Amino acid sequence: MMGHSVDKEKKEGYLIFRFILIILGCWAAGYFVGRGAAHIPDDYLKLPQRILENGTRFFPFVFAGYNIILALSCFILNYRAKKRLTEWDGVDEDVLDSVDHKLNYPIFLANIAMIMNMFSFPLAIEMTESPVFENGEQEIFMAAVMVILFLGFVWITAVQYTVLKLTRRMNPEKRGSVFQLNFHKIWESSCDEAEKMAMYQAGFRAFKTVSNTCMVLWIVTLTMQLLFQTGIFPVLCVCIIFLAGNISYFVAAMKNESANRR
Amino acid sequence: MPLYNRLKEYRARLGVNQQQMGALVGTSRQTISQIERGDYSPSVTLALKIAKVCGTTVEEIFEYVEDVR
Repeated sequence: MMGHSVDKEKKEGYLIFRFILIILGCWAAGYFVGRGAAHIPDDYLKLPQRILENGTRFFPFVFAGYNIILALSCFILNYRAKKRLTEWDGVDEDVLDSVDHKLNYPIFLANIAMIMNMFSFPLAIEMTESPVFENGEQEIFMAAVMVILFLGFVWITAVQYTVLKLTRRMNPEKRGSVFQLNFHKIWESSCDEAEKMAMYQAGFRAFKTVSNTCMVLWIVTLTMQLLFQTGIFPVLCVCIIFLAGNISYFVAAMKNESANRR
Repeated sequence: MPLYNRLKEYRARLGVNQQQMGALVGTSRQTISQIERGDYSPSVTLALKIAKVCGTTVEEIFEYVEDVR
């Protein structure tokens, strides 16, 4: 019993030592990056601007291209799942599990596309400042971007709608429509204990991933502020996401704790 | 999870599919499928409901086996 406690203390000591080493390592890296930032040539500082300028001409094609590829992938995956369900003999219930599993992919790809489009739009606005544009070209560029953005919104909603329709066909107890603003709440209320457990486990994993990503992004935005004078706003955005995640997590945890005590 | 079950066997005796079994115990088809595969251990409430619908005891359907690892 005593030996167990000594082992535990040794392990704790090692963890504290490792933690201090990591903090010191980060501090040293921050110091050298900060010192190095003062010696970076001006040409290097203009690198992001140059990349933006050179990519401007190709941007609408890239924007449309990845939307077309992702949209086609989603509709093909959805079609295959629908076909499998239509051909189902009504006996082998593993088929339904397989269709359920297959339907996760189009939703995942549609969500990825939505986030990419959300980034591409402000990127396009940034590109309108590019000197590669001649008279009136900016308007054509922006019109093309707006059309792709709108079509992107349409196909993403269509994929979500068709996947949900198929899911409801297999699971008639499920409620909610993609056109409802409180869709997630309604969907959650129609899920049973196993589905809620899976959702909450995934939610906790997402919380951990977002927290780790925020830590990395904080370092990146801080470095960018030092190297490229990107200002305080990117750091502020990262901190707001970090704060929102932590507040919502702890409020929910405390609410659950007090509900369990009652 | 070292929880083994005979739900599939009892469901076959009742002559219902996973969807119908889910409706009988107030849960989804996927959950019945997950329990049968041993991927999900149901709550006490759900286990009792399943046993009641199958007309037997929880111990008859679910068996806890000590993990020896």
